[in-house]
Amino acid sequence: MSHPIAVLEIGTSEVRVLVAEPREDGHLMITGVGVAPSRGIRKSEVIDFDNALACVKSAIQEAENNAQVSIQDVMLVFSGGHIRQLINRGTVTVLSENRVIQREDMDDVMENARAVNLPPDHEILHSIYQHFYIDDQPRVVNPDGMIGSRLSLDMLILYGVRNRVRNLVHVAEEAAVEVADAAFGGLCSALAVLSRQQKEGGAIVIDLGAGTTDYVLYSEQIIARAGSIAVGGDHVTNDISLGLNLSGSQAERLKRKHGAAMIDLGARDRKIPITPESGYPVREIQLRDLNTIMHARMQEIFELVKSDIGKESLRRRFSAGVVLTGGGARMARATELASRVFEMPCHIGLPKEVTGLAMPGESPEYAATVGMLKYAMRNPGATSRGFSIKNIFKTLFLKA
Amino acid sequence: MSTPAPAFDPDAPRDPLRILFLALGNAGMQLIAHLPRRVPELHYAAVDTDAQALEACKFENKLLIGEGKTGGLGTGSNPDLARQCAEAQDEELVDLLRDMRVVILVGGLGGGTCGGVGPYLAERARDMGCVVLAAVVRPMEAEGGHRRHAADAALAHFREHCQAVTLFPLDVLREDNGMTLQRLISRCGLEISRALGGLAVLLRTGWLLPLTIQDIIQVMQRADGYCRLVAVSSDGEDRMPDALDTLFAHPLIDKGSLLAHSGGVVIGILCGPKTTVRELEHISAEIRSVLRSDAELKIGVAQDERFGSHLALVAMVAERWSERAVALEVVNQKETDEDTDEEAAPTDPKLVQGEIDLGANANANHARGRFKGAEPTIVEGMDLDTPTFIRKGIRLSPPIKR
Repeated sequence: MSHPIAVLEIGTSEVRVLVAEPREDGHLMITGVGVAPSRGIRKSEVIDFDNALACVKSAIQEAENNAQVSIQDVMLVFSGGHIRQLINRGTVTVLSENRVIQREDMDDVMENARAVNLPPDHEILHSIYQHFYIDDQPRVVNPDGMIGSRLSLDMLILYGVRNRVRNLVHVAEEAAVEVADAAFGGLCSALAVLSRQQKEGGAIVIDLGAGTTDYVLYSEQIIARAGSIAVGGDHVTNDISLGLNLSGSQAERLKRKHGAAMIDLGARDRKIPITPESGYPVREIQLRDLNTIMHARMQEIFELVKSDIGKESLRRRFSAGVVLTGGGARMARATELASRVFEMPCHIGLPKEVTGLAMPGESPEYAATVGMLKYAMRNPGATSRGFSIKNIFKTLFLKA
Repeated sequence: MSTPAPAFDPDAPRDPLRILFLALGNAGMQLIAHLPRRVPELHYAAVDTDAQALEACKFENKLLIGEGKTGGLGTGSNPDLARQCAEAQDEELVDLLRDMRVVILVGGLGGGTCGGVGPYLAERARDMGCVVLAAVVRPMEAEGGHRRHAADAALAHFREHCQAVTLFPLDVLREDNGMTLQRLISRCGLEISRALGGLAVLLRTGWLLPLTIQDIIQVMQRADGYCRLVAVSSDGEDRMPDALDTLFAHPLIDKGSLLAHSGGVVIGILCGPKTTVRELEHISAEIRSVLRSDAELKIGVAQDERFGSHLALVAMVAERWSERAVALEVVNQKETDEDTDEEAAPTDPKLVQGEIDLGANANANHARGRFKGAEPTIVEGMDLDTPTFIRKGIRLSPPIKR
């Protein structure tokens, strides 16, 4: 059996730790799970260090007990509304006399494409290559050995506020674990829930988290777009709480038990009794109101993602349609609403190729953590400083 | 609701609206094959590139195009070729459209004639001053990606030139797994005939509460032109609840779900002279009760002795909707302020939530709940931490009294 891998996700609703061992058939055997309700985290960012640290320690401890291992280092999954994207085209002149493109030219053009001016305090989180161009020939997959005088490359750059990500790393390190690598949760989720065929056919993966909604667009075998919006399931709960005058916990229960992203006309007059909490009177609310509130918010979230992706990108082919994952994917009729907004089929994406402890393989909430495990399994040499063109999880910000 | 005509005389002669149903290709001809028998007072024509299919069509006015290019064998689902055929016989096509006021194009997306000739005809009809609607069938998932992509492309072309495009997705009309393809196509044809026939009859019948083609166009402009059209009818004592139940459960409007979410709805009520005001009020109230509180609803009532005790509802439901740039209540408040005293201190708008002061000020911190004091999520000037329903002015029911 190979060396176990540990992944840490400091989410808005839960801190999750997964421990897994790669199997010879390429599947992951989950051997440990640690979960702690989050405190001190809002919209996927640290707002109360001590509380966040306590939650991380608790989740790590539970995973260690569960897997019977001592966790020394973790792969960190992060997100946040501060994460932005841009596509930068780098161009170099092919220097060799015979104009045959060599590995050095490719390295040069990658560095060139990564050279972008970012706002102060921002840092590149991921740089993901898309298409090469040789002179006027577009969409070259591998230019190595081909002839041309000018080599260009489109690079998708994900960048964010340096200290917001470092704070997450800092929490993990204070919990006495090393952070070996870190990656944006949206990319991890896509890795977990999409098959190779789905990536080739094109898909939009939307991870509906509690604090943020992350998305990744696969098109023509590349990651065409990725991003995060600081709106998620917490906002749905907050809307219900305010709209129906309920406590946060009542609103959360109501959302999970009776809520839906669409309004059901057949049950429009149905009333739902609210279990009283201390200090609250017994009362009823109308199902229609609950679902109207949820529908308005969920539709807005999908519209925001659609707008972020842009009309031009949506004209491409997405034979796998929209894949919803993350805890919000469990919301009743969320796929129906997404299908209507994006005008393409939609389904829930569960982590694939996972065995062992049942929960992660059956839960969309675990898509990001399982995706990070898959990445780590396929790239055992991934470190905080190394860069490989195959390595989409390039991180530059660790241990500065 | 539209305002009643001040002096409507049901006996006054009415200039009939000249409406042309133009079937595109084999699918279009099959879909409205029975409509001339049901509504003979309208005009019907068919255009195709396939001579054999056209031969089988019973319409009086038929035009074969592109015989020189295709040998009358069709275009093989090639919309570019079909468009070339149409361009080559422009004069004959224009003759079909002459003197018409409303042109309704009917066809099946994904094929050559509908996808190529349809948008061309829509453009020509608009140039001639006609109101142009398209009623098109979207192919099933099972028909494959190529056909569906071709359908999407054709749909966009239709939208460029039509005031309204109404979609009839075949997949949603499937009743169960045992339904045959023939039955599915027949059902689709029946639904299209009912809906389009109902709409046409409504537009030509004497209105008590008028609903004009302009009303429809205005709603469709905010709907980006895409809508669903459905007609239901009922008879007897329970005709009103029956018709409403059928409408709310109709698959073409996603079993009522689209109605509940739509931003714009046009309802035409077609009834006999014995229909009471109370019945009409009840229909209006029931429909309003299922719509979004901010939905734009236009209702018209047409009465005719020929309908006897029958009641028909024709619903045009917007699929997409453009939000108003500024919430209506804010505009009203501003207008009120301007009308009164510019120097007056700002007052809170009236509450929208009954007992809870949520609508008072969408940007106020008290409307942010658990996000109060947190770094706001601002997108295009909107504070997304404020509940969406508040920002969009969606009203909820008053609290239930026990």
